Amino acid sequence: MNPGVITEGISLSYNSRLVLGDVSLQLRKGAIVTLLGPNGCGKTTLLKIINGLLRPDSGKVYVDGYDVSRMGQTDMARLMGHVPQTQRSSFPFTALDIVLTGRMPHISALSQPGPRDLEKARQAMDMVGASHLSSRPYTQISGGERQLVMIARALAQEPSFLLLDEPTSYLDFKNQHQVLKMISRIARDQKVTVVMTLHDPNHALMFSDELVLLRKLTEKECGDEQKFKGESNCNHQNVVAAGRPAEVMTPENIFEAYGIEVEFINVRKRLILLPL
Amino acid sequence: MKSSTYFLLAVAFCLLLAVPASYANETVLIEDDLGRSINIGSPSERVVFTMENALKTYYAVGDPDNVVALKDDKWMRRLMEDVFPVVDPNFEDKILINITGDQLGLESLAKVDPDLVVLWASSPDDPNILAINDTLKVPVFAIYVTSLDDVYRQVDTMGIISGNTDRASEVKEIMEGYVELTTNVTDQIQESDRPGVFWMWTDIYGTAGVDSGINDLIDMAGGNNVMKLAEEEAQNLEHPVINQETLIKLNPDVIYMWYNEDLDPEDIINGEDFQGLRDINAVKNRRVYEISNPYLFDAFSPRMPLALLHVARDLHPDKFQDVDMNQTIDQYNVDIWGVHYPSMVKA
Amino acid sequence: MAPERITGRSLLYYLFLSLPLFAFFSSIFIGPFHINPVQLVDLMASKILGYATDYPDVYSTVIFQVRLPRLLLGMMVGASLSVSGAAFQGIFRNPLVSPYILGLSSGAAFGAALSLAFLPGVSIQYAAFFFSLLAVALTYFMATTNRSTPIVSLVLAGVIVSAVFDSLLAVIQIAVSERALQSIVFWIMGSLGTASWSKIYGAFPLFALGCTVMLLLRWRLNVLALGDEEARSVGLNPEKYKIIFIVSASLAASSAVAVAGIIGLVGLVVPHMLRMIFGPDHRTLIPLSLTFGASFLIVVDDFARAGLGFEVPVGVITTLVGAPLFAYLLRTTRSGGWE
Repeated sequence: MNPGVITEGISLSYNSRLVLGDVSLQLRKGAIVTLLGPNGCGKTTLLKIINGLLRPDSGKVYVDGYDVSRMGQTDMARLMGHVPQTQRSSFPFTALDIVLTGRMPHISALSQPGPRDLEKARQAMDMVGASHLSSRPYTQISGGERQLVMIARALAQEPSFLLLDEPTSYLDFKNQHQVLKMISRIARDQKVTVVMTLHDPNHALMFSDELVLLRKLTEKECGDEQKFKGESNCNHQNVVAAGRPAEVMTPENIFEAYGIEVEFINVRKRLILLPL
Repeated sequence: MKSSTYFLLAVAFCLLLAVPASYANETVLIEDDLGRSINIGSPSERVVFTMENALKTYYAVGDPDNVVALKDDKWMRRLMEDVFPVVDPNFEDKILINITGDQLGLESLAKVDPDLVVLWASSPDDPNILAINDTLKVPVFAIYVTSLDDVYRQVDTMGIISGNTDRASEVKEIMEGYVELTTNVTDQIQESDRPGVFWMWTDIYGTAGVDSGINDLIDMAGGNNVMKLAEEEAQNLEHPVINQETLIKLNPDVIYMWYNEDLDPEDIINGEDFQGLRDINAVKNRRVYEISNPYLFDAFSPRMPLALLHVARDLHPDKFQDVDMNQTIDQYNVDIWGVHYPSMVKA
Repeated sequence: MAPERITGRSLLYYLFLSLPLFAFFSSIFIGPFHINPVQLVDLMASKILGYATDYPDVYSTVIFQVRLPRLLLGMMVGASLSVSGAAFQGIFRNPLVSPYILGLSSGAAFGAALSLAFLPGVSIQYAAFFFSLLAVALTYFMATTNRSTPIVSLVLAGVIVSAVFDSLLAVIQIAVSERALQSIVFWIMGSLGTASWSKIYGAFPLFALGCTVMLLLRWRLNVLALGDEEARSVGLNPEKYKIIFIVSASLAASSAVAVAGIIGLVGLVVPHMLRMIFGPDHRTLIPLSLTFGASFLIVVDDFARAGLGFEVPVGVITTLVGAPLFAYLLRTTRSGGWE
């Protein structure tokens, strides 16, 4: 079957509000895919549905040809690593202990992590450049360092797909760039498919192979009286456009997603998006 | 009318007011068990009892019609049939004072308009005493019995409360007479022949300290409370709780169990949970006794002489062979309350 | 986790693991019944090696029927409460949690009181055990909606269930006689004073079952402690493991409470103290809770049974000893091992 991530007609309502409507996508294996859109457009929700953390009301998700709704949790955890947006820990576990929990899908029912798992966890920390944090309590490191630790934890799962939810939130300007650069490096070196959500369109432009632009759904179903206003005010589909970044990121598409006018400027062969 | 007529009328009115006062009972100043001085009528005519042992003493001495209300714990009283309804045909009709936790219902108390409240309290700061003093301004007699002397004193007290001091003296004499049934024998017993007794309350390792009434009872019954040999800080408690090992060390000759629904002497002697006690003299010689009849055994009531005899017979069976226990119990109940036991027929 | 190198901390780790041996062999010599230590050692050796001695029978009774059961029961109870306390703290991601958070103690107290007051035919242990588990089950089902059991709901449901059983207990206390009331109060305070082999045999299977499960699965508490979603994303079903840990921790704690009453603070303080010294990793925390909890309770019980001429409820002393120890650690370790 088709590798990569395929969603077929995903819909989900939350508190009787439609969050995702009929989302059908094909995300290429081996690519860095960014889900981009304004707050409330459902990108985090979509990511959780792909990872099996949430069940859609209707629709199917296939990852590497497997139907996610029929996969066991262990198989799913071997296939996909998930880095959540919020990072909390009530206990001052060391960073290494946290990364080690990523070995869960590889550890049999009654056993504990062995030397091999420890080795894998160390390698994962190496990959994200966080080895020096190994014995530091998770509760005493910075937000950026926690982000690295959580990425290492997902890598310790040895997944083929890495799902990251807003990996740049809580990070300062410099760290945002470094984390994104590190993610693209890992994607290439480890041959991992990355699906992440971002809220900065310029980041999305700079670091994605593929881009999915999403919009927030209107509160009500489309009525006849709203139709004359055009589709943008009355929609039940989240996806504005999907494909190569340069094709997706047009001023028209961005207006549709965010409702603001933008222009692009070309600086040293890089497209920069500026609000008007 | 003439002014002299007004004067005469006024005088008559004053006399009228004064009449009840001149008919009123003699008021006496007495000290209750906590040493509080209170003024009460003798006899007091609207007495509330919230303490059953004291009521038992009262029923041996005074007029039951002067008791207007009781604490609402009837269901507990039903556990044992007692003399009250036989002595007093109106007993079941007494007003009940409701009680929440340990707190008497002040409103229901106020409603019966008592002239004296008799209750159990271990301190003058008892919340019930304070509450009644603050609100109802009714004298409160606090009962606090810790020794056998207190039991005798209670008979005197009930004599004053009921205005029946003669009957009180009589009851005391009867009691003393029955006590002598035991002590005449046990006084002769040498120290070396007195068995060491461990008193076992229902919490098993909880026992009677040397300052307790039970300690006196054991002494009078011809035994020795083994707690006399215990560490000082333990023996002075009223209800010390010791452990198995201390009990083994004290090595009593007799274990005397308070009436215990969960446990029989046989459990102490052979039970799995009491293997640790098997080398104690009392267990080796199978001298573990239980108060099998809780009716008899309110040692802090006028039935104390019967309780004493019961214990003494178990401690020294050879010396009380001639005593017919059933007959003695019956006669005693007739002497004190005028009721046959166990038939509960008026004598 | 077995440390890789012999470091100061790993030495301390092995020391704490072997604490029960030290605690046991110092406690066996202590007791109100005086036995010469040399004779005591001789007697124990004779029992093990099977040679005859001519000490009075009562010596061997005191050692083998009184002290030994009490020490073993104390170790079992201390270990149960500490291990289940550590597990509950992990599941709840909160250090203020004790094994009693789900209403277990309130249920047990009610059951014991019911038996003491109205059901003389039903043994206190069985009644306490049954009602403690009933309380936990009620809490769990009250907190579960849509097949998920959020921690906050569990805490709230635990508060409600505890309150209900506390009220029912109060009703019993109002209704019973003074002597029965005294027994109830004494039972609730917790004591090892009625230890016997039969109690050990009765409580051991469930204690062993609960503790074994928690020991085997202890690393998964690390995974669970990071959060439900974080656990799910690495393939651990948090609902399933919550049930497994709640059931095994409750079995262990209930069997302890049934034989010893409600001994306070051990299940809260022991895991917390260990976390301050050794860190939060449950791979070390759970085995250490077992050994340190067992040692802590029998040493404290030494005071309860031999400190004064009378028996002091051990629950009272665990609180009096535990509180200052806890305060000291809280003040000397930064952030109290917790943020």
